Amino acid sequence: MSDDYLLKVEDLTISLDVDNASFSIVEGVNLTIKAGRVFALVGESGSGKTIVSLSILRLLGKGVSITGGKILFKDDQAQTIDIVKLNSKGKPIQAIRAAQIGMIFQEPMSSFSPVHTIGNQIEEVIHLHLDLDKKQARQKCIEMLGKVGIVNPERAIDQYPFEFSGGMRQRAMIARAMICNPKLLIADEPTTALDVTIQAQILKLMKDLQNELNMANLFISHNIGVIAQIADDVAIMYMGKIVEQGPVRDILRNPRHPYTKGLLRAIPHLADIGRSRRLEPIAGSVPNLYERPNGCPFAARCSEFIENICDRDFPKSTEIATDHTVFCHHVERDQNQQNLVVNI
Amino acid sequence: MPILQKILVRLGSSALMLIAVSIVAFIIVSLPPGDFADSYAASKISSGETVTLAEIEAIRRQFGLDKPLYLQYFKWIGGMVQGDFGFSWGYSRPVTEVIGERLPMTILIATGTLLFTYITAIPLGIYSALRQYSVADYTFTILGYIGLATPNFLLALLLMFGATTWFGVSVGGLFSLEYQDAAWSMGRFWDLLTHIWVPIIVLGTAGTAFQLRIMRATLLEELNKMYVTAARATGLSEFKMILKYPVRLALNPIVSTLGWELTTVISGAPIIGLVLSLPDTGPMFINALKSQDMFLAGAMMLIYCILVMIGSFISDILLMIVDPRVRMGAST
Ligand SMILES: Nc1ncnc2c1ncn2[C@@H]1O[C@H](COP(=O)(O)OP(=O)(O)O)[C@@H](O)[C@H]1O
Ligand SMILES: [Mg+2]
Repeated sequence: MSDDYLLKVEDLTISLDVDNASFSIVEGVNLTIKAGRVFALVGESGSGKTIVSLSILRLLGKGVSITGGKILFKDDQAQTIDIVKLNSKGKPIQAIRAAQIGMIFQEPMSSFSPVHTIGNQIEEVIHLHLDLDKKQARQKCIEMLGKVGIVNPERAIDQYPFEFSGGMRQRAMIARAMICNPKLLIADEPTTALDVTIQAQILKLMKDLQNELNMANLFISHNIGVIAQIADDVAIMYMGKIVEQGPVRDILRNPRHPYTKGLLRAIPHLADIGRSRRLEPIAGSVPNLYERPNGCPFAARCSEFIENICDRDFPKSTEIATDHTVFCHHVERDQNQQNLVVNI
Repeated sequence: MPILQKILVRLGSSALMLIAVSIVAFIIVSLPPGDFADSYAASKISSGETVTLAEIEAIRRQFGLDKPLYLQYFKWIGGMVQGDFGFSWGYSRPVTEVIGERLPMTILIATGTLLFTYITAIPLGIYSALRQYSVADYTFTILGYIGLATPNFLLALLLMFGATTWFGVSVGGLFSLEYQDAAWSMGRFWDLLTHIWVPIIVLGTAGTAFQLRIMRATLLEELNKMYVTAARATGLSEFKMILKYPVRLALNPIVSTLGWELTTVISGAPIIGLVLSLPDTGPMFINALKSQDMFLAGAMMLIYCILVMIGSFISDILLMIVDPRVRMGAST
């Protein structure tokens, strides 16, 4: 893989301490986010997406900690910083937050303080990172609110979050995360809590802003259907591990991991409306995190399960096309056979 | 202007409340069997003098005690409105004078107690929450439970005992002998400070312990909320973030219990005033109740109620200031 990355997560492991035991909830995750591109992280609820996104800004809560790996970030002076090595309450990470990496959260209803105005909470970010006086900051805030599609921003700036609808709040949250023009925006399921029509509007807004400002975007979703519209690269996560990763076209056209295939079969297609094709949800459910199996985490639900192999070791990474990697014993075996054929 | 409207409604309901309270207060002070004329006669007889029935009747007539109760009430309340609180039989002086020279001390003690409560409870509660399960947190918890469980009068006696035996100072009253009737000066003020901490601690300990628990619990809850993580994600320093966001929200329950806290202080104060022999309204009120000095007791009861109502009014206004959801009538 090339070296022109903006953020590179290497072998990241995150553990949860419960009483005296420690469980890894994210294991050996590798992600490479390139400047200006949209990277999607997809997985069912509980697969560890939020944990990964919080770890990038060192926002993990009590009892959850990074226990291994690196998070390399190229900052605005082209220095490479390992975010894992920073103190989570120190100045260096605070200088990165919002200024270089912005974040949008899943719950727009609760991401703002209910007793401070929207303007107060956005202008605060300006004062923290940009050298503007009060009047300029307010002006910039009004402009940004207008840009994210809030009508009458001069009035909205002095309103409180409870006077906003969910969609408006998510727009305001986008304004707050992007006001300092960060190089990377992390959006953790930004549309999950919203109505379908609002979801589409917010997605379009994010896409437009991303193009306009040439930002990279780590877009997190449990809905693989959204990905086709927005992403350049995709990683599929299952029980805290990446199982397949690659450019979005490759993954959508040629999914190789049984879990990815299952996710794709479960999306409704426009073409299918009115026909009798039924959606096929993946059988079974995500196993309990505290009983992580030895082998492939998906083995228990997998239709292509191979006994004595899939339940033994976690599969190695197999590169099946440029940048398209899969962690699956099946794919590994097929690939070996192909190589064998080629070699003969 | 919805805020102004709210305040006006609040004032109006306070006025209605006051009328109701005045009726109840009057009934309470007139309720015990016998009246002032009887207890006057009893005290004369016990000191060896003789009192004739005619004399007792004369006293009754003089004070209007022979009239029906509702007429007595209207006479009393009518005078009140004009600033005439009636006559204290016990002190043989107008009620306004008797109360007037003691009320400032009561207000001083009550205000001091509230200040002490919040100035101690809020920072300690914040500290406890931020250092949950630390030695300091456990210490405050244990001290808090002791503070809550100790009756005020016992605490008063313990403090007096301790101050006398270990420091050799007498902490009863609010002034030393030489300053008792002196004019105000720096020396007298300092003397007041060296005495007033005793009733303040006695009256404020339970409230401090209680508010500390509330502050700790609410802040711990607020710290887990999403807006805290979102605020951290802006790059705000941890200290500023905590003060600006979760602490601000955790002040809500503290502010809304202010009126209630004042009520506890006011209702606890008379007994403590008696135990510590304070020159405030406490001992006077209890004596007035005992000797059926009804105008004094009734007026004092009404004043205590007014103080409590002012407290809860201030609490409501403060809540409107700290929480825009309350101010703007949004559902929270
Ligand atoms: N603070 C926490 N305490 C206990 N378990 C947690 C905590 N945070 C996350 N987890 C667990 O870690 C797993 C991954 O969570 P999360 O990253 O929120 O998943 P996702 O965002 O993909 O839905 C879940 O099983 C969740 O229960
Ligand atoms: Mg999540």
